[in-house]
Amino acid sequence: MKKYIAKRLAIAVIVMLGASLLSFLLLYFAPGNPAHAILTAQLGHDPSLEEVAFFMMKHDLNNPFLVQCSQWLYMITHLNLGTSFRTGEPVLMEFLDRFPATFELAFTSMLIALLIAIPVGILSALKQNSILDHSSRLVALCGVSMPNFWLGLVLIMFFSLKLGWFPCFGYGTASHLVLPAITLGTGLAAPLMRLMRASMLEVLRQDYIRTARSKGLSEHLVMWKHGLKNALIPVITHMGMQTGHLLGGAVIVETIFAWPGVGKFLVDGIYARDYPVIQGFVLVIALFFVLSNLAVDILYTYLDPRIRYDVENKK
Amino acid sequence: MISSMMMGCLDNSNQESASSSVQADATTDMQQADQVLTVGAQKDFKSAIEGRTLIFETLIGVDKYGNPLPKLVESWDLSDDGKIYTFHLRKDVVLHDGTSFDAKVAKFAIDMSMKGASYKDYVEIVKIVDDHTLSVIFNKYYDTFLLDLASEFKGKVVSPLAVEPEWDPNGKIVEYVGTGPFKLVDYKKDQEAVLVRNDDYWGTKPKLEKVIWKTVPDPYTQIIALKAGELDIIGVGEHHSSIPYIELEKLEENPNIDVMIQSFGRYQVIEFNCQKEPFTDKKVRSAFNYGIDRELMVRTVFADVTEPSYVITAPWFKWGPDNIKNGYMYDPDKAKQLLAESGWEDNDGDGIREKNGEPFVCELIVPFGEANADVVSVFLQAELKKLGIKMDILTLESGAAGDKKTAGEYDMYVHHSSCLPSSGDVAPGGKYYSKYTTWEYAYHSDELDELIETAYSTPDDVRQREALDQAWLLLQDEAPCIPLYDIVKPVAFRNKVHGFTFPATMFETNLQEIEIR
Repeated sequence: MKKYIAKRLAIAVIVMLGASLLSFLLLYFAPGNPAHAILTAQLGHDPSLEEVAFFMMKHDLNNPFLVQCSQWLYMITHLNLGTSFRTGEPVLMEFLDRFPATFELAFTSMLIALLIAIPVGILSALKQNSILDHSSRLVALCGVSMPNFWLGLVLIMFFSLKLGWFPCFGYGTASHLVLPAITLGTGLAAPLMRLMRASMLEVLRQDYIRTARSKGLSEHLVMWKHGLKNALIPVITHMGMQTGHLLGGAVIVETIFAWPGVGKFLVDGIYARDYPVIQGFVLVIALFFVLSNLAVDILYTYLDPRIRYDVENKK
Repeated sequence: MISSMMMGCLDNSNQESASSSVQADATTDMQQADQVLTVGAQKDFKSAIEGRTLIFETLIGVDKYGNPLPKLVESWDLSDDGKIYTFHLRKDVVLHDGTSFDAKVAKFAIDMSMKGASYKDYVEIVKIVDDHTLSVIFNKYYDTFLLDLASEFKGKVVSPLAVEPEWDPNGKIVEYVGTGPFKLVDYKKDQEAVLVRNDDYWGTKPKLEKVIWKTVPDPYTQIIALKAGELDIIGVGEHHSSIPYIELEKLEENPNIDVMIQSFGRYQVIEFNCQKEPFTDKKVRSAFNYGIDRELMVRTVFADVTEPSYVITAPWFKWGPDNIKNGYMYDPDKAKQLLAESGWEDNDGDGIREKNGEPFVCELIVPFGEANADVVSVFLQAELKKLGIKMDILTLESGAAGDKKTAGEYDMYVHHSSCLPSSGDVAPGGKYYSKYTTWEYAYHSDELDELIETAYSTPDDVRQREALDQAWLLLQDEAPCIPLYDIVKPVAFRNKVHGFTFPATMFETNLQEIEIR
């Protein structure tokens, strides 16, 4: 297993570099100029040719593509993600300053999603075609259909403006976290709920469940030990992917609730063609994707003992 | 749109709950004693010019017409040949870190700002005459220098000790230390900045003790937070205001909220590609201008929040077109006649004019994020259809739109006119001056260049005005763009906030007179 993890981590480095380089490549050849975008935002009007020329010179943007790429590669190998064109601050600091907020929101909303999705999904499967099942399907449909920006504003209007229970926006206390986490968690819970139900139904039809029942095991044991553990595998896979997305920031929720996470800063960086920010953030977010998927792979071995990553080596 | 519908529903059902009113009243009472103002702004404090002007001041001020005013420079002299500016500095100014503002600090400010500014090519030397006198010697007269020094980006005074390395004009600002009415005491990225009154301020001391700048990117969240009493004022932290025009009526109806609206002379305009058929033809450009009912647009699209514009930029600017008596007033018959004179006729009766067998189809590029551009472009499309012109709308991400503009791959482009402290579209560096512009495909001519050069190469106000008058006549006749309406700036605040006044430019924030009562 250790060897497998080491191999995956080595691949992670290639994935990170590849993702970061690809994002730079796409933006480099996409229309738009960082000097123009950033100066227009800073000045409030179109920059003059001199101002554009000075910006390009200051940030080495006149260098050919390959030179810019090699400069970036040199920096990366020296663990330097560069400096943001917009803020003048080191990219790593920009990320680290915002990551705690992103992590907090991602963790809480995933927790909310799981607390809703897993019990409701299981109950829907156990009571297939009951009122509960139909209701949960309707709730899931609503959850998937409600855009975050709409749900977020509705929650603010009722829970903040009308009832005064939670602040409209901001970061720092538990009460600030409630509305954004519910907004994000509800959207995540809906597909997870459906997946849990479908997976549970699938597992319940398997021969080993019938065998377990015929051996005289209690229904409780059949469900929780044999049913749920196996049914969780696709759910965990989905969660792994979602965790990667969440750690990359939730732009809409961050914007509505003024949540100081990495997502909005990255998207603003994309609009401004802030190359160091885009490359640096994508690099780190790619790492999160790799790590969350690795964690999922490891979890598989605990959920299903048949899955072994070191079998080939033992042979 | 969905958001505004939701806001409407809420307004219709119940203005505000008892609990939030109680909360708001409690907040009011508490803040009354403290003189604390919570500002809601879309941008992070350090990213917003409007926020920075509370900390950093400029050497020169400017009034709403574009006349330079004394600020940290108390007075100035200009030599007869227009090449030497001598600045006499205020003697009672102290920076937030205790450093005295003197000629060395002022020279540092100019050296620092000059790096990316247009005037650097014209400055020969910046010379300290004595502790409070500074000379800037130019190799030729540079008319817009004082306006450049009135811009936060091109002329702010920063403590040389707040730069790393200290006193290095190429250094990086590491602390926000200026001479302004407020001092920055706490800052959290993308969250808030806390500013306290600068008790040593040389000018009118603010009545507020503290300003909390809260970053709230979504305009609808800002509005709800203002209604809930979590914010005291919104719209002040952006030069184009965060408040959608469509929300103003409902905000004005709210008994706890006051709204103020100000024009800064910036107009939304549609720029033509004057180097591409059919917009090389002056008659076609004029026809578009006469064929659009701006009164109707302002009434139906903006509920009369703003005013239509019939000239290229605000006539009340110092260099503005106040000599233009007849703007592009709505005259659809004249528009149709001009199109017919240019050879555009609807011969096949399909409602679209043709010339040489080609239908009149054009494209409007809308850069994403340009204020109100989506509704305005749909209105234009309908108006042009009445003239027999089919206009397609292409909304592009602003970077992609900018590239199309630079490459000349557009027919029409949604943009806006210049405003203070920039020196205008008819100035060196402006849209219509061919030598320095980033608008290569806008209207240009040798005659216009000559008039602009004459206007901006003389310190003689009378000669400058004469040349500008001619330039405006020429431009109004050539119709290089379609001026549409005045991009007014609305600001909304809770009615405990008293004494708010707008500054001279849309990029400044003026909180000095505000009092919480």
